[in-house]
Amino acid sequence: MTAVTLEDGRSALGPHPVPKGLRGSLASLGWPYLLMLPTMALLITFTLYPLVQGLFMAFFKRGVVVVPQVPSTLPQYIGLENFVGLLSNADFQNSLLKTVLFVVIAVPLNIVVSLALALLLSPQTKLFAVVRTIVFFPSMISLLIIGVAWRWLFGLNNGLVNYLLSLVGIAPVPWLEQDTMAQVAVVIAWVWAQAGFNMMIFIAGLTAISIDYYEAASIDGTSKWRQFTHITLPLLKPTLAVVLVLSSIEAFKVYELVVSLTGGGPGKATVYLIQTIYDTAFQKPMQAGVAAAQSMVLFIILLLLTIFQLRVSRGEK
Amino acid sequence: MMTAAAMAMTISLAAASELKIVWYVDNDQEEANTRALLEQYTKLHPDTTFDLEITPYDGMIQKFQQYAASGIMPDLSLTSSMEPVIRPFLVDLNKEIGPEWINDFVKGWGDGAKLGDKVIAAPLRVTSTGIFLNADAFKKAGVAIPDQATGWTWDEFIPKIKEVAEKSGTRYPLVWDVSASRWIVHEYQYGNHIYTEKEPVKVVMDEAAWTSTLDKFIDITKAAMPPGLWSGASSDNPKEIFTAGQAVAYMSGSWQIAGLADNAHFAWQAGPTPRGTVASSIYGGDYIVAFNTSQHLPEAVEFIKWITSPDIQAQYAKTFGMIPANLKAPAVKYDNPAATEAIKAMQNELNASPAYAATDQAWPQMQAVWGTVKTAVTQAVAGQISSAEAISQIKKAADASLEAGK
Repeated sequence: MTAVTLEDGRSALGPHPVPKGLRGSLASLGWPYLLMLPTMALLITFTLYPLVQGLFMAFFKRGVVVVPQVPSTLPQYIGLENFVGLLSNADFQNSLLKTVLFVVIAVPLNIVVSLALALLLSPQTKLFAVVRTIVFFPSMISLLIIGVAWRWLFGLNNGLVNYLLSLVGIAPVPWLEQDTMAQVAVVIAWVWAQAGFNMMIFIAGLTAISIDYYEAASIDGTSKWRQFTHITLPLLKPTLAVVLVLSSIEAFKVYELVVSLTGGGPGKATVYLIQTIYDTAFQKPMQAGVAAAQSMVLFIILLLLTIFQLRVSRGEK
Repeated sequence: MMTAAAMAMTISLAAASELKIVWYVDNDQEEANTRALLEQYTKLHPDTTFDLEITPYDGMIQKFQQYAASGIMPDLSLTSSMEPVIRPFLVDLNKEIGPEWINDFVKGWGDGAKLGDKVIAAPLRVTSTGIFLNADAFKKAGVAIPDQATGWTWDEFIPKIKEVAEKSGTRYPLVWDVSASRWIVHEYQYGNHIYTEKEPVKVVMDEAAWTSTLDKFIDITKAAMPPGLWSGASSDNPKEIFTAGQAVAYMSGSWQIAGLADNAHFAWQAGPTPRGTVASSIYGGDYIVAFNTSQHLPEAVEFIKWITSPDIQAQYAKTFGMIPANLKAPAVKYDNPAATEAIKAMQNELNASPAYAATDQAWPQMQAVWGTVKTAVTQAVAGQISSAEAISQIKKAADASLEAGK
């Protein structure tokens, strides 16, 4: 390797000369660490402290707040009782099971829909750019509002969806009034809300695939389907993995959309994990410790998914 | 001269008190009415102004928890319940206003403001749960509505409203607010209640009787209500359905009267509410509380005295379409004759209700039970659990509430 020398005699390849004066002393004080301080402060305040506090709370019988003037709000240490209690907590187990089922159904569906949209809308034309923006739009809206909008659309008597079905002779569907249909309704609304964002990730992934592969395949007379299964999908694998993990994390955290769409009903048919945690903490007296233990279980699930995502990202590099 | 003016201004500013007041409203009109009421007070007491914070009703419990945990509180707040966590911070109005004052109010709601020897809240407005009828539909169907004294039982009522719906071409016989307190009235009407009517508070639920009544309610949902309405997730809005003339009867409460007077384009009336073995409504409403952390306690108490005084109660009730909490309030003549009649009918039904229709709701323990009531009943209606399981869950929550309410 030939060393490049600048006009003043310094080497263009490091190491750089040590700065003198004020900058020099700042650097010696650990300037880079100082620059990291605001981020670290935010991380500690809003992530690390609540996490440690949550873990701490899980070992106590307590309410959401502690008021010294009200003896019944004072925490009592109960060891692992809150965690052991989860083994016989039917509400928690049912909602965990429902959440896993939701993830297993909604995430693959979301991937299929967003990948199909990406394949359809990836060509760089003005029309597709407009359509892409429209499809992406739901990602920018609050999930709470999306839930309210779909609640109107899924109305049994006055909803647009049932009106459209009636035009083709289909009887009104009890989207929000019947257990299974309500779960289907949540999946549809969630996929609609998430598909635009994932479509954009897929489009970025598709753009990175060299056109040469497709040209070569076309010359060999390969069908479009084989091109998709033998070129697109294998080369899109790292992107697929990222979307899979990110979507799964989002799906495990589903809450606002469900609360505004079904309120967890009919009965408890669409009560997922976060709603159970919220209800336990805020609707039941002195159950904040139990809710904290439930949160720890969710934290472990999300942690495992995040570790998987990091591994996939490293593999991609 | 300038110095004197500046001094006068300084003295005036020093004497002025701005009361931080937390309120919840149903709509913009109610907010405007609330602001107008506060301005009216400031005109009478120029040294007292208000910093009004409008907050969602659903978030009030969390708000009180935050207040209690932080120790930073407003001067005054509207509330429907005095949560255990804020009770140590509430002003004892017995001490501030006098021991006889609370007797001026509707008994059931006044009792809810008491905590031992203390009075920790001022009754502001009272609501009553009952049935509204589409009188036009009855007329069209040629079915007579009995007078209040005669009334009807649920067994008589359901076939009648089905007949009316059929003959008048009204879409649904009955809509019913999906709410724990609206449901529990049906249990009260069969003599069932959760707690004792006197202290010490104990749970007195007869699970078999409660289950049998819940079964009756489930039958009513199937026979007369829109499918899935009581499953807890339906987008159908009972109030909108009734106001649009699509239901013969609507189980709700007196707070709907103002809206019906403005928006229902058909003849309607309140009651008679069907009975089971007993005629019953349920007390509801709101209180105003003052916090002992206030820097302007005398002004806050003075405002409570004013807003709960008979004349202002009558004005308040008329503006907001409510039942006055103060028994000395002059008779309220609402702008709409149907509204005047409806308030009168609901007030009568409330007065004729058993004592537990007030005490069950008034005991603070009940606040820990409402959530379970709604979930358990909607689950039973949706067929996810049996009626017996639903009632057992409510009983468990009620038992647990005795501990939490301490």
